[in-house]
Amino acid sequence: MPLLEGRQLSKRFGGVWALQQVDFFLEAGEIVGLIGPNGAGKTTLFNSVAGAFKPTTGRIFFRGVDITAKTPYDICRLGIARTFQIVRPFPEMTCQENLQVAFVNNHHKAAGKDWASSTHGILEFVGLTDQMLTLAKNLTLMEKKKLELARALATNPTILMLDEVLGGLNTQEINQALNLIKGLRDEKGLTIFWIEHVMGAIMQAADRVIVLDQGTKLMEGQPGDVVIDQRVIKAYLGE
Amino acid sequence: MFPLAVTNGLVMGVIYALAALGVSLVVGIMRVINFAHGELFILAGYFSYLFAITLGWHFLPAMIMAVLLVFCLGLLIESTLIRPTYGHEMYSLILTFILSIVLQNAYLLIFGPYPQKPPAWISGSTHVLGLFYYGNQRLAALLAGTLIIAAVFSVLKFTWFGKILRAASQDREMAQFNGVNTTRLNMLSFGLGCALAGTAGVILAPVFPVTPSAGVHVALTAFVIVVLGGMGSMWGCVIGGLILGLVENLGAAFVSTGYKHIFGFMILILVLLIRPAGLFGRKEI
Amino acid sequence: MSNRNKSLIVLAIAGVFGLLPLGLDDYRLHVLVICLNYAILAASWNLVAGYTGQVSFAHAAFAGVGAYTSGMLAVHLGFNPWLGIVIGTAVAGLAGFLIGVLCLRMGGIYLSLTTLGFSQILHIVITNEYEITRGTMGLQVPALMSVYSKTAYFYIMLAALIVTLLIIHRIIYSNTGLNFRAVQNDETAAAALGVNVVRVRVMAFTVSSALAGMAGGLFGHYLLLITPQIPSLDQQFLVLAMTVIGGMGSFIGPVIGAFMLNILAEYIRAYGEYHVLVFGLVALLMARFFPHGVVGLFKGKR
Repeated sequence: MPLLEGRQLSKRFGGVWALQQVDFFLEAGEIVGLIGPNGAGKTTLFNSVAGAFKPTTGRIFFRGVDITAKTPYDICRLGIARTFQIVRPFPEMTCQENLQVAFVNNHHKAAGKDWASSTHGILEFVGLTDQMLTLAKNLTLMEKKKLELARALATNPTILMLDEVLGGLNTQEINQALNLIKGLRDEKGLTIFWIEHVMGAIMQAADRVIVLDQGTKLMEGQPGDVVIDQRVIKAYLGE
Repeated sequence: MFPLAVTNGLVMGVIYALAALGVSLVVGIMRVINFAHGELFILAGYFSYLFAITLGWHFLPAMIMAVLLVFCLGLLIESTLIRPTYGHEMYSLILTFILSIVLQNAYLLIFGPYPQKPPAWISGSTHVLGLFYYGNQRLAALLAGTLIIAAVFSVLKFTWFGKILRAASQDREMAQFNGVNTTRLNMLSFGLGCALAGTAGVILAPVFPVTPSAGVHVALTAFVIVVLGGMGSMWGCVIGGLILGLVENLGAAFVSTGYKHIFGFMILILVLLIRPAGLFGRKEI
Repeated sequence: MSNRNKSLIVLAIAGVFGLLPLGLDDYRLHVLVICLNYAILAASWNLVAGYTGQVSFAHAAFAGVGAYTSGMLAVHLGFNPWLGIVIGTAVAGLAGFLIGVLCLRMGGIYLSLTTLGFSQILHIVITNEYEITRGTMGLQVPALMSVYSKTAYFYIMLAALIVTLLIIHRIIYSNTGLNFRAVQNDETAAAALGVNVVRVRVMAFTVSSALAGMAGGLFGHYLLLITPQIPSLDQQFLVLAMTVIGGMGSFIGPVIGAFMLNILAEYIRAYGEYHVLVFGLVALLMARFFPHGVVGLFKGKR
């Protein structure tokens, strides 16, 4: 049984079908890339899984349990964490407090008392220990993205959904982030669902890639096969 | 008794609908609720009284001037108070609520607590359907209100400006991408919303007393109507307005006059319990 | 400011307040009791408005619920006023819970409109049901003590304010308070991180309305007369103005605002009933230009 599964997901906004009968699945321990031209429905898919809204039709299963109609906070507590394409740190709170929020809402009360050391560990992992007491609004973009990732990690997730985390970063920063993400799969055993436009990164890190175009699934397969597929190339060039 | 109550209900219903249209316009475009809506409604009444009685104008230019002044005041309020709060719903609520109280107290200071009454346009009464006598001024109010509502609908449906308004209220961002100057649109919409309140005010003023706090009930009723009719629905305002006018007056006639104003709020609670989107509203807010 | 210094300042203020009644006449005590009452109302309204960003217009109404519950129990059923106030507080809290659950799922405007509707319904019912509420004549209620003493009432209200502030402090500096801030900073992100936004808001709203009910009950038995003026939009406005001017979202701001405005009102009254207009204009300016209020001005923020 796959860890996360979506069956015949469709989402309509007014007169537009953003998603049309998309099937997908994630096995535990995979990094699955989700790519496609702008407007393909990638973030809509994420939002459906994360509970930001209910899909118009279709179902989503996590460990075999139907989570389609659940609220964002329930889904987070069940173990699916997400980041946002445009980062959403809590601006008037410090990095540590940002993580504290994630931590205390996803751990039992007893463990919750130990939030300081646990969050410190996560800050170390992403390299933000120096900014621990800095207000989130005063961080650089790269630091904010690290915070976004750290926060998602602090929720103790089983699945991590990353939405275009590499946008706006330079080559060095991209490599840093890539190593971080691969480390999450290899060392921490996380399953990662990853929307990305930076093709090189996806090709390096992903075990499998799903391609969306105009709301439908165009194809899925190994990164190497996807990148040379004629339909995929046409979808990107045509945008 | 019944036909009289129904006619009263229709008259008030049309007035309420006009006021509600003003609220709906502003809510739809700017996501702002103007708590001072009632005070602008009543200000127009005060202005038309000033021009017609104190300055001796004919009632028609007095009314038009009153509405124009309220429109301008609306532009001013939007640019000074509302505009900086865009994105912070809470602040515009607080600011307009404070403004409402400030205006009420200002009216008390300037105009005094006693009701003022602008002149009627037409006197006498008509034998309606052979059943009862009804004041001509009220009938004229009913007619005027209906005509103006029809005019508003026409502008929205057939003019280029109306199309922009409808587009902006459905999808603000898209309107922006298509080159609409949203800042100016906001200002105009707010001004228009106030103007609609003012129009309702000048139509009602010859019939009902203009007092400093008379606008409160109209504003609250307008909010209820917008919820009942559904946010963003123009027809919702009209139907909702008529429903409320009728329920209020029938209730006052047959149930209790003391509880007249409670029906609107009970309708509000019922709508929120059963169908928050209202009669014609969009499902996702 | 270190915690030690903060505690010392608090103790000093508490000491001053504790000794205050000894040197004051009845009139000044009366003004202080009014200040304390509004301080409780403003601080509890601030819990919802300043810390969770929801504008409730039913706060004065909840005070009315507390006042009338206690008053009617005392007058019609002979309840001890102390017991009445406890019951009134609970009833107000329950009402807050129900309204919160009803409309906090739906977002800001709906809460504001519903609380507005509720406060109007309450006002109309109280005014009309003359038999049990004595309508606009007012309900005459017994005092909290056998021998009426303004000094005693001062201490009672002071204790109530301290309890209120302690409760609010506990909430704000707990995980719940952390969640409040998260929701205020970014509601969507908070939800995505596991914060049950609705539950957080309902809890704040319930506590807030219970505290208002308590204040209403206490104040009613102080004035010995409960009128429909208590649950009115005018009162709601005053509470709002005090919080806005004092500093919405700050801990001590509402209390400062309450004291400032009520003391000021006494001076303005010498010239006529203009205090509402004055407060309105000041509140308008503050809300527009200095949203952090007087407290914010002191801290150098805008």
